[in-house]
Amino acid sequence: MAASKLISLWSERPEMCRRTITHALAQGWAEEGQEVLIIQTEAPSADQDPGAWVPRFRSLSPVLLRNFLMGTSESYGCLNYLGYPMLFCLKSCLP
Amino acid sequence: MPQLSRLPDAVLFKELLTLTAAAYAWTLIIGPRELTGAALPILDASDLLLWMRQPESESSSYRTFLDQLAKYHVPHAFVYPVDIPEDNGNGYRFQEEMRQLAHKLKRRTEMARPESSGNVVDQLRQHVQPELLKALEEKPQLEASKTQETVEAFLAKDATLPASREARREILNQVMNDVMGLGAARTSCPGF
Repeated sequence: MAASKLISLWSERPEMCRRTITHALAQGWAEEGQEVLIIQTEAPSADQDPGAWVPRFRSLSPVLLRNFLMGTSESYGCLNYLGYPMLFCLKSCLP
Repeated sequence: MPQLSRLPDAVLFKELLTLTAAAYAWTLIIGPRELTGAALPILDASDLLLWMRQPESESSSYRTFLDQLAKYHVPHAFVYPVDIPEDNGNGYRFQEEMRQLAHKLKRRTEMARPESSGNVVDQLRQHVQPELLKALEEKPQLEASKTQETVEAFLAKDATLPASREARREILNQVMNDVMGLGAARTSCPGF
């Protein structure tokens, strides 16, 4: 696999169709046989702590991670989280 | 579909991206509504920032976005503005535009982050001094904040400089010390 690339999507107004465009790009690349993951910030709901499952995948193969993150109706991976990296910010502010 | 209760802290987020980089050719992150310091881990990890805009929209918000990136020492070369298709997700035209965009992104060579070059501070100082002189003509008592703003803007436009924010902050500190006459003294710049 070629070197992995990470693209973040931003817009001038929140209602703009970032999500639609992101999924369209992911769908296109997935149809070409490329492995794609979407990470969505400020998702409406979230229920898993990455601290619980990221360590489990340290020694596992990329295939298992892709299976774990595979969307139910998509041909690419999806990962949602609620908001900002608040812990990062708090740590930055601590002496 | 797994869901996260919050974005992991910086260390965990980095580990998460290391795992996903090994498993995926492409990772697309739908950024937060606002670009704040809280989103810095996303900026640091990004190879490219896509800026979605309405075709007929004012450019002021894009300008603001670039100014914010300059404040965080993210080079403007990593921003790729994209006009949102009019049919907004429906129809053949949208699909075709997305196909073309995907093709462009695959071929975009600028995604390779530039490496650090030697003697970069001297080069930058030589380039930024005319800008500072211009600012001095407008305001002889140039304030440190204005100087920093000028240097930040210059840094953001230069795609040949090191890409990491840490490296750019170090360059900014050195240039600021130099042009403000502090020599080798260290100052810390706000905005991090």
